[in-house]
Amino acid sequence: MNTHFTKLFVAIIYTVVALLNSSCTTSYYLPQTQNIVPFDEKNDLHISLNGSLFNEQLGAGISYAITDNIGVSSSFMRFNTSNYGNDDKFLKDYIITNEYILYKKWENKFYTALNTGYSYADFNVGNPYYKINMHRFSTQPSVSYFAYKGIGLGLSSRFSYLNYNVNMLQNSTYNDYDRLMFHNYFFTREISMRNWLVIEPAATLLIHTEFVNLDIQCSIIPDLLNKGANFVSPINFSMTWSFNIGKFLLFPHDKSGKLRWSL
Amino acid sequence: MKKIPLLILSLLILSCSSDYNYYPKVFEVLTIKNETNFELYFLKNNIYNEAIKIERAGGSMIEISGYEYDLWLSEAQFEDFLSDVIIFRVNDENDTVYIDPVYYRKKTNWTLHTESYHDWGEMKTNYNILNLNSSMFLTKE
Repeated sequence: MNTHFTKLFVAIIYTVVALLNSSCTTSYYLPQTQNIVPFDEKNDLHISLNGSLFNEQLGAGISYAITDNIGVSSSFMRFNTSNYGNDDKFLKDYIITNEYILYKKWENKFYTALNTGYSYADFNVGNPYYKINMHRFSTQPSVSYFAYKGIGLGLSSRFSYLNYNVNMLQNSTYNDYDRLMFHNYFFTREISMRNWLVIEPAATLLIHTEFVNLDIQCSIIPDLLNKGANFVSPINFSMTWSFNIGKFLLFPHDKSGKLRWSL
Repeated sequence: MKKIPLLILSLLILSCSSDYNYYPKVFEVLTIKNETNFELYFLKNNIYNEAIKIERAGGSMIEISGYEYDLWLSEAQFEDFLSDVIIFRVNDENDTVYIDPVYYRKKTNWTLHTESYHDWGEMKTNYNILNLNSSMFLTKE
């Protein structure tokens, strides 16, 4: 009985979440997953997958710790926020992010990091009416604390500077009225008017083992901090699974020369 | 086997969220408000249409349908739609006095208000509003 109830409950939650997240209005930004607690030490090499029912996100990334305090990261994510067009395409909207990461592990329990990065996004790829792309310059401080074994909480906030290019493909045939209608239709007036500073606080539940990490994150774009930015999706829940192939395969011995794992 | 209902549910949700090249057309609605003291009539292509008789107080709505346009009616198409329209009043002596077409055949003389709303998919409507007053009548020689 209990099992049936649990299954029903999961199915209901799944349905409600999916329906809530099917995008109703056009947006050109969403609080994308933030990469926090990136590394333990030099030569950590993570591959990761992340996803969310919110805006049909699916992403993959790779991060590498060059030293005990410096790392780099690169990620790709597809999503669907730009409404209209062909929702069936895998690459409807996408963002590519590259980050330079300064990190410090204070003790086994406490981590700080500062990610600085550049991202490029494309919206509604291949549609016949426009080309919209976005350049994002961002910085993201984070602190994390592991209270119990590998379970912890991370707090972070991404501060982003957004620059959009809106290119109307039929501009040569448009007059002022058509351009007005274009902005009304595709909700592009705000993003074509000026550059934007967007602030995205996030909280992350961290479940880490030596080789595999699971992060569950909630990030928001609060109205109060981002007045007038009506082109954004205000909230995101995401899940990131990462695997440290650096520790597991490439550098399986720790600093004392001991093998980290055995069969 | 036990996961089949969840699989069906997932497929249902995915299929509900998929629209192929979905670009809704904008409904174009023309509203003419009669601010004169006369009853006004509207002819398009010399055809009188009771449905679009212009009311004195509130105005009259003309919804453009079956007119070929892409996403929205362009300015040229809007003016083309009105190119064969005449608006007039009939005096007691069966004398006809026309509203000067200059006032209603130019798109720029209509005020525009756009609304987006959801009703099983996104709908957009352009409300084009024109106020007609007595000074717009063509004066007779």
